[in-house]
Amino acid sequence: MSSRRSRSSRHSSGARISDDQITDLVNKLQQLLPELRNNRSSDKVSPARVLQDTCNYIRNLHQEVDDLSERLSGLLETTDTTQAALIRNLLMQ
Amino acid sequence: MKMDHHIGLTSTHHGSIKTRFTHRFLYALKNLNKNKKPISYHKVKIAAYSSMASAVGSTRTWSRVMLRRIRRRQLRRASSVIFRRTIRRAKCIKNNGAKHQKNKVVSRNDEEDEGISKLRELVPGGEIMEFSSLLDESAHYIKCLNMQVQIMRNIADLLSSV
Repeated sequence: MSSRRSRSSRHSSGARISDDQITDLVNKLQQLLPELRNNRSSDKVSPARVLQDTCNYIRNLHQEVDDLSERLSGLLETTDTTQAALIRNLLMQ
Repeated sequence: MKMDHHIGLTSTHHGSIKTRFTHRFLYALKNLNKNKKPISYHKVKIAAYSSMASAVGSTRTWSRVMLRRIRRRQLRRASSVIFRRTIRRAKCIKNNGAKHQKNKVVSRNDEEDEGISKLRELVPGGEIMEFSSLLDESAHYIKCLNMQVQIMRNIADLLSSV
């Protein structure tokens, strides 16, 4: 009996964390997703939906990075370094 | 709780990641621009991701794994032999990690399981994370990707307006 209890307590403090903490993490993730962020009744969104939307959102962001990299590589070829330095200064302000 | 602190990036912390990313990325772009060779889209992309991962540093699993992947890619170019060894070792670790995780996940429905396994593929290092860390790291990764996209767009807009 005592050995079982100690095992379960080790679980909750170590590798396993409580359902409440998982729910909390899922809610935090949900707040970052544009499509689900403004959902007032947060408990109506299933964890499966949050996970699915998280995946889609990350894919979209990866795609945006791809597109912007393409755009930047094109722009850099037509811009000389003095202009790049100027922009650097502008951005650092 | 420790996790709360990690997930909710304070404005100053986030600000400093943003500043570090911008510095590193612009520096990388400047170096790319120095070489007279044409700049490939791939090089800009790698510069962006590695700038972001190094701006975050080694406190996060995803950034550590991302940096390791980028270094491995550079090694591949330097020596194909070393690369093959590294990959084999990495695959071993990856498989063990995934197996370990599968045993842990017990009471979830199929839809959730599908979402979790997809998320593991998308977040660098996701395969070796425990479920709660995966959620925590995903949130952080999304914040950083958002910031990265925003800065890249700003730079592109500025460059096209010159």
